[in-house]
Amino acid sequence: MTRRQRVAENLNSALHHLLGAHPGTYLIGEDVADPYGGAFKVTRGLSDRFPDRVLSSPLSEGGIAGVGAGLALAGNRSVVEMMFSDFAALAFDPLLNFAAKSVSMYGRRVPMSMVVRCPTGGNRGYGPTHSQSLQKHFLGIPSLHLREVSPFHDNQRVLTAMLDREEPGVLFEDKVLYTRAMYRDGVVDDLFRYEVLADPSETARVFAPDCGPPDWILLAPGGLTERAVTALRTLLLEEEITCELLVPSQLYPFDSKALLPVLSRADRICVMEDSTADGTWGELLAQQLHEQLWSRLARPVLPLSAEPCIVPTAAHLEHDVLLQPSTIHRAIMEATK
Amino acid sequence: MIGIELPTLNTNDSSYTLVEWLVPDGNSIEGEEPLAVVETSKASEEIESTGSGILHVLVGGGQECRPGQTIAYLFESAEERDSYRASAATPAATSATPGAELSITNAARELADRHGVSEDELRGLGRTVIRTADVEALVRRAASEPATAGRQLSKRQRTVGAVVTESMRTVPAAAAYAKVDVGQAEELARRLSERTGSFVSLPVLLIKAVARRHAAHPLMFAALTDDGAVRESERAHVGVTMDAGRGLYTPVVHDAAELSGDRIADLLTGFRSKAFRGTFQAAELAGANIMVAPHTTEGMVLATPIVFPGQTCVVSVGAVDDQVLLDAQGTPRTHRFVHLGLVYDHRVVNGRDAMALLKDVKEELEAPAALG
Repeated sequence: MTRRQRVAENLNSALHHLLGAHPGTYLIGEDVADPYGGAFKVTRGLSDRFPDRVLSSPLSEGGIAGVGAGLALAGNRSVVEMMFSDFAALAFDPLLNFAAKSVSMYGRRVPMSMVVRCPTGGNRGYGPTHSQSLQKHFLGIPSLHLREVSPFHDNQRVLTAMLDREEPGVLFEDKVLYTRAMYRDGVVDDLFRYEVLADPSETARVFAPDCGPPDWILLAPGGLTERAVTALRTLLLEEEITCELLVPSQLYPFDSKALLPVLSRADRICVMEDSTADGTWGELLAQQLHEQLWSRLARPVLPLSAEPCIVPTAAHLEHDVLLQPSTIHRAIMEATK
Repeated sequence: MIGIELPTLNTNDSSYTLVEWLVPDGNSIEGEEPLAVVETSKASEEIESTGSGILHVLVGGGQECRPGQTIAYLFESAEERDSYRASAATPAATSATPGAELSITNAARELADRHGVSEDELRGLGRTVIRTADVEALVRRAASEPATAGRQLSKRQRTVGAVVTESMRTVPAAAAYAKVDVGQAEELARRLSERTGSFVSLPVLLIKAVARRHAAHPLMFAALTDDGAVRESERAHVGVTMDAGRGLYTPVVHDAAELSGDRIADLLTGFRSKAFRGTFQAAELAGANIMVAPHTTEGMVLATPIVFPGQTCVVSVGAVDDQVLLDAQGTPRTHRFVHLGLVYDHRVVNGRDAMALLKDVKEELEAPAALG
């Protein structure tokens, strides 16, 4: 029995492949060079193999995002690592006003192959400035696409697709996932199976076999997978509420119409995320789904997000602020009545 | 016995991978020595033994394990390990197969417990998740079946079942029936009983009558072999079906043509008592090359038994039925009739042969002097 690959290893081998396959690919980030290999070891071994194209930088999120965009503008491919996604706020201006606009601002379409990798999210006690999920702040920018790492989606395929899109993209990587194993062979655990749908967002569908149409369909980005599956389990075994989980690889743009056949199988839908509430991916999705499914839904789409406050450092306080399996379980229970 | 627990090697990991054991399962450990390589998300580390003993591996190489999980035992001796292995429900180092576990919702488990539905029955549904609806369906199905549905057949009846199923599967049977006036045969039976003190009945005389026609109808006493040949028998060994309430037996009257009526009667009396007690010896049940099946309970007209695999025909007899007929002088007289049935393996004999045997047996019974 071969052991399952961890998500960080999967990212690492994907980067090895990208740099190996395309000589014009650059990787830029803080402390990405060996022997440190990045704060989460995702860039391990890359600078030894590609010393000219793996560039370690000092703290300079705005600067490296600009360099990455400049490389893309010059026809190269760039991967920029934010050490923590919280500091992607510093890269917001180069992304919004330079990288994304460059695709369409010069009278002809300019290919901009660039990915900004963002280690994201909490539940690790890193405190208010190293635990945020900033997806919502990057939503709705023309030519800027957003993806999120999940245990279902192979990152070589994800990163290749992002760069081949020739538009700047942000890849959110929930830090909790790094040490988790990738799922494979359609198996999540003893109870749940998964399949990857053929919609543009390459949504993974998690389900318990033999259960027929579900009571609920939950949509969540990849970082919530483990917490959502735990809730799926307790909801099924303790409350006999059957839920399916949809985990898209691409968050924005998101083609919810392509998922309508799947979503129409349940009359209750929940969207969830780790961003603080209000103006979020889930709310955007809920609005779209209301428009498309309202006549057949038993209740409004249920939105779940983190509490609208900073992420505390103390574990027990952080636990209360972020979405947890128990929060999901309780919310679904109450909304089922 | 010492348990070897996996220490917490990296707080960010919920599981590690046990890469390999450095000491083979069952080997002797002398003290602090490296036992296994465990890989966390950050590094590979060696796990050292905390004591000495015989290593018994619980988690195989390549498997995932949790911090705090017991991954092996150290036994003081090989004997201790052997006795642990003998008593352990699960073999060592099994790999978890996804899907092998049955998931039962709490509500379904409660309902199953209330209706006495076992986990095996739930497993029999062939589903990975059991919900209340599944248990309800199972309970409904059980309720709609007759109450006796769950009764286990006796071993003896299951044996009968196997034989009749084999017969139905392999023997293309046809049947012929005859009507026999048994007035004289009954009279003979009564006289023989009085004279000998044995219980001579119509089936006794029938057994003898059938046996006496062995030479004239050898195919009826033959066995069909696999290669399409028939093996004839030198003597008539007549089996007789008998059920005294403990299940069906077919004891055999060996060489019946050579036995007197009262001798056959005595044998049958003995068989009946053994059928009642279930105390037959194997030899008494072996060797029949034809079968007689009495169905003589009052009111029975006739019966169609099965041909036993390895035999060619079976003769059945119903109960005696009174019938009033006019004699040559026009006087009404009461006649005593039975119906004789003959079921035969059509691969071996045809209707003509069957009717010929029936006609001969009828003659024997209607002019029974030779049957005493």
